[in-house]
Amino acid sequence: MHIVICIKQTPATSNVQIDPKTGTLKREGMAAAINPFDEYAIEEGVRIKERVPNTTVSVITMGPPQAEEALRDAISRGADLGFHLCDRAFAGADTYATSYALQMGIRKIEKETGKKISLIICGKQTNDGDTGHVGPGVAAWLDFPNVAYVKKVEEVSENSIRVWRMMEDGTDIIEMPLPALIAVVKEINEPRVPSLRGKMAAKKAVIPRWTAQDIEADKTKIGLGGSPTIVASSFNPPPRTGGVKIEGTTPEEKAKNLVAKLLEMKLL
Amino acid sequence: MSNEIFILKERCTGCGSCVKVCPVNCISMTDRQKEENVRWKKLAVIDVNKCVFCNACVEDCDKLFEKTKVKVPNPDFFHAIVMKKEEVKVQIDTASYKGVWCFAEQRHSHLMPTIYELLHVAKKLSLDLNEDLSTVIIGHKVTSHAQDLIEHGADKVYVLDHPVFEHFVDEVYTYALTELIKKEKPNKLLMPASIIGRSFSSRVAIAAQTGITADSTELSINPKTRMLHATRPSFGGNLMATILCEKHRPEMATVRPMSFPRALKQPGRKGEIINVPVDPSKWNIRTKFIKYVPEKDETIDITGAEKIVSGGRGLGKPEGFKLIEEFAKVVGGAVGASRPTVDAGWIPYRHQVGLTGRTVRPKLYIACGISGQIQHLAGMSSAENIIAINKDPECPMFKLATLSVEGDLYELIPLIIQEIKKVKDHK
Repeated sequence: MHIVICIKQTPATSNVQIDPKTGTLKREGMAAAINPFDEYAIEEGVRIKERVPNTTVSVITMGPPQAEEALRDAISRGADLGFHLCDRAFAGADTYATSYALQMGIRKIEKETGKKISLIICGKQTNDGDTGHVGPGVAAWLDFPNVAYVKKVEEVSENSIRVWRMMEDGTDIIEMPLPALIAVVKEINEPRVPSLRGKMAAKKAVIPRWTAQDIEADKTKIGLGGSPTIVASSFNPPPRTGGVKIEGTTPEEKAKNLVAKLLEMKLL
Repeated sequence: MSNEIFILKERCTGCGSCVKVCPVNCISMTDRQKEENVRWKKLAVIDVNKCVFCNACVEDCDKLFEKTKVKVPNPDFFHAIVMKKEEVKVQIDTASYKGVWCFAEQRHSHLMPTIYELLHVAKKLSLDLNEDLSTVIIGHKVTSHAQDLIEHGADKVYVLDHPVFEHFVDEVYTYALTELIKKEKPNKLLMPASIIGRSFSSRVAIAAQTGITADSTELSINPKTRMLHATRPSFGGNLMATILCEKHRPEMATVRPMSFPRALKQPGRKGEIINVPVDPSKWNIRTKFIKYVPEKDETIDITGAEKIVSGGRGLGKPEGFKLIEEFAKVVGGAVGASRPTVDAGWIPYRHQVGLTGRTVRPKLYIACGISGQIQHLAGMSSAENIIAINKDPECPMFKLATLSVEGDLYELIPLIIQEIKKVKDHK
């Protein structure tokens, strides 16, 4: 099998801090890491590799030069190959342009490695863009079937995959022939930490860096210019006011006052 | 040519105004080198890899220039940012797209309440545009819902009723909705940001070759351009971004559940029901739906809940959720949880609220022993009313909370439950 995992380097969430004065995000010195959901995607890819013999796990990302670190990180966690879409022309892409570029990159991976793609795995969403649209978008461009919100891979073989999808009211069990795409949620596994061997492999790995021209991208479908949506404006919402502290000298009094207030606000 | 943006170093005063207007935070301030011999101490730097070339900083700096010009003739500062943007030509006759559409989600032939929220906001959009409001319902044995949708404000209901739609399958629903879009050419299309909506809306957008905004919480029509302005929170609601889809149609958006009130029912309201013929034989359906397993856990699902009582690390032990469950029961709400409690195995993942869990927007959110890390706030900060119960009066959740109670939750919660029961008995 040939599995491709789409990952993104995003601000490390544990470091996100809000400036108390302005209420805005402090981004200076913010460490970048693999989007947390993509860690589950990588882990699932590596687990499938351990189940199905002769499986190659490729990882692809689109991003600035420093995003290569995320690919090396993925290799240290068990992926075999990394591919980096890196070109100023990709900058400012929305989910349409991002999914377009990624799928062109995936086509190129298939061509370069000579190994037919069987499965694409994405995280449910990124922690910065937070849309969850890129995974299904990639599937749409490639005309692969897809399932999002996957919480378990029940069965997988060279030709098909059976997955559990998390729904609001239960679980859907779905089967797809390969090639296909899945987007996974946190519940699917517990990502391993990089092994020493993995770290060595990551250090040595040669990661090709591809431009828009390398992947033969249609210039009208990439980057900011190729994005149907644009950010027109952004603003900091007014800080929440109110902040009434429930007073009381004893817990009984506090409980009483809180319930009275909730009733007054018609919340009970 | 690719897009370009740069700062005219000698004109930048280092005032930092552009930093504030940048929607993607790609501008930072650095100290100038002394040898530059410029009177300003700071200099703006743009990270071009993050820049989306929105022009906000250029406009801001130019505005400062205009203001200064009134006082100082020919100022040699401000007007310091230059941008060159490559325009991609798109030839879509946007005027031929008419009407506002809402996608009515159903599960097992039952309508999900998200459609009433969509109808509420879409009604306003359709009135502002003076265009029809339509609903699309895809499912099996769903035709009977059409009149209900009309009574909640839809002028037209497109019904796609066929056994192939019995279960939600991304490919199948995408084929159906995309075909209808291409044929009927709606102007706007709203879908719920539920699991189903989030799952296949993007596939539809690619198939229909248009743009989509995810998870919006505010929607309006610009009266001049007639375009949809979809506003969505990012980074836990600390930054709101308004997204436009200028040249492609339909303009699509998913809408976060609970962001709008439900449309009111107007019994007897008249409208048009269109039964759309469905022919799955021409679709290349590869996905096979095996079965649906209902959730055993009978507690209310958090996404659509009006009230949520959540427990955090402050509970100290897994048994703490028994207390939270009891609390949730008396207020008639769902049980939520913070990430550390889920990671520790105290409660299943489906209860997790926050960045790596789910996003909720209830009327009432009671956070018990949750300090309020940004990852958690990302999932609940848009709740209408937040009540915080915590022993640490300095915790971030207290700053956000509508009402906060300081104290030991094991002491307070049983007393609160008792008090609520007392009040209810009186009623």
